[in-house]
Amino acid sequence: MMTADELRKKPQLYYDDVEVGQAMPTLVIGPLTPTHLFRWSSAIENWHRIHYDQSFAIYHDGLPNILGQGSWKQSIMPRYLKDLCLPDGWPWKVSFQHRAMIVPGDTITCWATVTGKREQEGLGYADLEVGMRLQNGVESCPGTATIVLPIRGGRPVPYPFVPLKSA
Amino acid sequence: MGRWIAIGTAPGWGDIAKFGAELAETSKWRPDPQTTITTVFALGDGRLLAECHAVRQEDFEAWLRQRGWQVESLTPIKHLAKTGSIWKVS
Repeated sequence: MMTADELRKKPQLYYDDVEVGQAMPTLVIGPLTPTHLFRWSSAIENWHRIHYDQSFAIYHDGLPNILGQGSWKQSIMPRYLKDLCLPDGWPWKVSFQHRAMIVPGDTITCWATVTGKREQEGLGYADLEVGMRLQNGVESCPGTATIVLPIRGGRPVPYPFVPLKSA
Repeated sequence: MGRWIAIGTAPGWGDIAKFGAELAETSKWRPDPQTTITTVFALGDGRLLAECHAVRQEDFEAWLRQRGWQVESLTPIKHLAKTGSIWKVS
């Protein structure tokens, strides 16, 4: 388990050090508060009341509480993958589903496990199974991702990264 | 999903430190992903009032038992007024 700051400051991850089945460092965020949710709604100008008006969320929409925004999760997952790869790797692509609601009080653990790896034209591609697990073990955002990592002694990952057509 | 109000008593919950300890962690008011204790009032006469959002009344009853409540009444909510808005609940 790592904090956001520890994840950002970790040593560079190299393709050589990644094995299929390997669990990546996790990132723990939370417990979330209404302030977190309101701050995100303000930042992206999402004024749907289910994200900041508790009475409306609970009694009008029949929800258990105000809800964490899907767009917030869509920002956290790429940030997590970026922090796994950078400064010299690249979070190439990610796809995940929104399954379970996230509400204030929840603690989220972003996780990734390596499911495949391949070397192409001097770059290391690692496929990942990813998710955002809640404190009760419920998986909120199951999905997959691919990151591109430098190989020790190899060429740098281009910035910005342009995927090979064959990758 | 349904909503219910329970009125009752629980040992020590009149003390704010104990009350907070009983409810501080998420797992204590959200025992499973489909059961949420949305509000708990500690009333001045020593009684407690809790509202639950859950699939079944039994899920709320299980929480009340687990937390040591002596329940006086447990009733579904029909509708309510909240800060000027009136909503039908069930």
